[in-house]
Amino acid sequence: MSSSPSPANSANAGNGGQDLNLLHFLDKVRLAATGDAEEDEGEDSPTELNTINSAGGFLVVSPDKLSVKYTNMNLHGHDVGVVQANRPAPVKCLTYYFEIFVKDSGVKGQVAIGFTKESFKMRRQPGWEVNSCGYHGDDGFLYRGQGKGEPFGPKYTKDDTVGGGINYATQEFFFTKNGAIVGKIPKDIKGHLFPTVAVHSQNEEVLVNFGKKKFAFDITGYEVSERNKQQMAIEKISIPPNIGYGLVKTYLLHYGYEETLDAFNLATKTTVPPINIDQGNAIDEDDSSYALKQRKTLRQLVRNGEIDAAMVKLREWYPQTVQDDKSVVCFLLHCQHFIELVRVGKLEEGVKYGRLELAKFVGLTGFQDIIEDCFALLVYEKPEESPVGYFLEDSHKELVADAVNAAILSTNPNKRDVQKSCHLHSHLEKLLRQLTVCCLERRSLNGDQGETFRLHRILNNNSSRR
Amino acid sequence: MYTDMDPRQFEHSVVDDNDIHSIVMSYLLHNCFNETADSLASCTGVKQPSDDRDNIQRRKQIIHFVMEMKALKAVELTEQLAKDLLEKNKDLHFDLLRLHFVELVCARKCNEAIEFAKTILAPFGTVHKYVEKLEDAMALLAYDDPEKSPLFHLLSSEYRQQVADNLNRTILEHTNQPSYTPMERIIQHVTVVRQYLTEENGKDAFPPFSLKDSLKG
Repeated sequence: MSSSPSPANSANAGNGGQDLNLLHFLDKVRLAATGDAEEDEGEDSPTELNTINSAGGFLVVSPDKLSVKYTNMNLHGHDVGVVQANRPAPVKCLTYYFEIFVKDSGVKGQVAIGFTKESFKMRRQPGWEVNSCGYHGDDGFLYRGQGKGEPFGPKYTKDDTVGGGINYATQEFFFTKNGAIVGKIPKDIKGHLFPTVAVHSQNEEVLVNFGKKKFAFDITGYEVSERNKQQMAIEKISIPPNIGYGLVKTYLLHYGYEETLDAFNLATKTTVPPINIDQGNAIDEDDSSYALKQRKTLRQLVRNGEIDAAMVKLREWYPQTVQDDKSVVCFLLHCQHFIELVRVGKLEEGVKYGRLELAKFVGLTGFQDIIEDCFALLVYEKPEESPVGYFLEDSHKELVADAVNAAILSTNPNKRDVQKSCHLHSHLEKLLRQLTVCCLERRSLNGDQGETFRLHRILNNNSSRR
Repeated sequence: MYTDMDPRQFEHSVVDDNDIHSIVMSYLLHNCFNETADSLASCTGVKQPSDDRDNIQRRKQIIHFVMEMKALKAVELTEQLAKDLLEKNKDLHFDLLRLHFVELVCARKCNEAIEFAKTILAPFGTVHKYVEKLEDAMALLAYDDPEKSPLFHLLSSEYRQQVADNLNRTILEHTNQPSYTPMERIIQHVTVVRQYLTEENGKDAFPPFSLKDSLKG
């Protein structure tokens, strides 16, 4: 299915309208600029206890803010010594986890570990109020907002290490005792949650570990096994036969890799018998072979740096893509010409050319930043080693060639209206984009919690397990 | 009204071309299209991974033998490539041998076929699942034209392709390489995520996923 149909701007009508879909290639240039810096979600983790928002009168927090001691008398249910971490748990990851060590269970052993919201009443046990949960050491019950609580796990006391965690993939809370999972419950609370610790009888004292020290529970191993569960669900899906064949063939047609296509056709013909495309998954190839020879020729020219020749041919064969020299394709080709001049050191000529041909794009949003980066090449002794060195790489030439390719494909008169943007991407690329978008959507359904989708995890972490 | 993909999000999604090229490359190498892979490398300027060319060549030969109805040859080469592979994968071994039986039946060498079944296939018969498979194959002998038997699919190229695929993946796994391509993983992944979205949100928001539809246009 196509992306948003571009209303009036169709390149093949020759109506002078910019094919806005081709602006996509400018985004690809920008992608190269940022490199593959993995998107850092920039979330800070809890590191210590929050001494400001705590049940000040009932407890005392140590100077290092990693332990808490009950100092009150425990006369009723509203003098709990409860304290939260200094920050809420980060959410853009698979899990969050922290631990407490019960140094002294005091008179009644009413220690608790859990999660609460920022607005929590700081005199109650986690789990005694709505939108909070807590695993209590005195009865081993799990409380989640209904005064009563339910049997959950073993009690815990002096010298026990107890952990509390959130699994964002399954949207569950889980708790551990002395390195072993005790149990898990669905997480019905939305939004940011603070790791919370509570003490409620005299002399109770608890140490907290937010990750500075090694955990008793193997959280890493737990994450691995959770990821494996997800992976196994994926691996169960049956793959339509020969779908790969269709994707590769249309990919080769799309980019105009004629020789490779010939090699592929030859190879697949000799598989005995020829690959039988399952009708139900027939991928629409016909439009992809449009103007194959011309696209191949143009790609060659761009690759060889013969930009002038490329522009001449493009004007001759597909004037509508060149329009009045203001199209995205023109822009990219002019940039490339400039780059080629810089590459061989003809800086003066480059500047002249840039002033002549690129200046008109300045001021048009979407082009300016790239022009500036381009011109930056002039500044460096060794431009290929500079931060803008990516312009000189082969991959950038390919990008320009791809844009020309897409522009030509867009002139295909046989294209049905709904496919206006299909020239932009091969089916394979569309599939990848669909995947990315769907994963983002899934995460947003989870309240934007959980790991970011990273394509490279699939590309690289391809285990040999079947 | 939600169409197949929300256009707003779609526009922001930029895929690195190198990823696309490497996905295609890994598909080609997995399926032993080495000349095509070479051509692609020079077309795109993408370097090929330093894959074991010998492994690719041998897998290619083995697969071709299966497809060309020379199952025993395939078995022989597989044993040369990896001694204990077939021992550790008895189901696969049986399927390959059964293919040879089918080849003999097709070539009208019925006596040879029976001999082969008795000496080579029958010993597998101690395990129940093989007994069934064996009986299926033996039934082919009852027909003048095996193509007309209810088990004609054993003679089909689709079935040979299936066995060949299985063998290919097993060899890859045995030699510590991924037995599924990233392309396949991506298809599976998209399917799972789309299923999830449909389940959580209903068919109106997220129509059930059809790979074919999403690849049209």
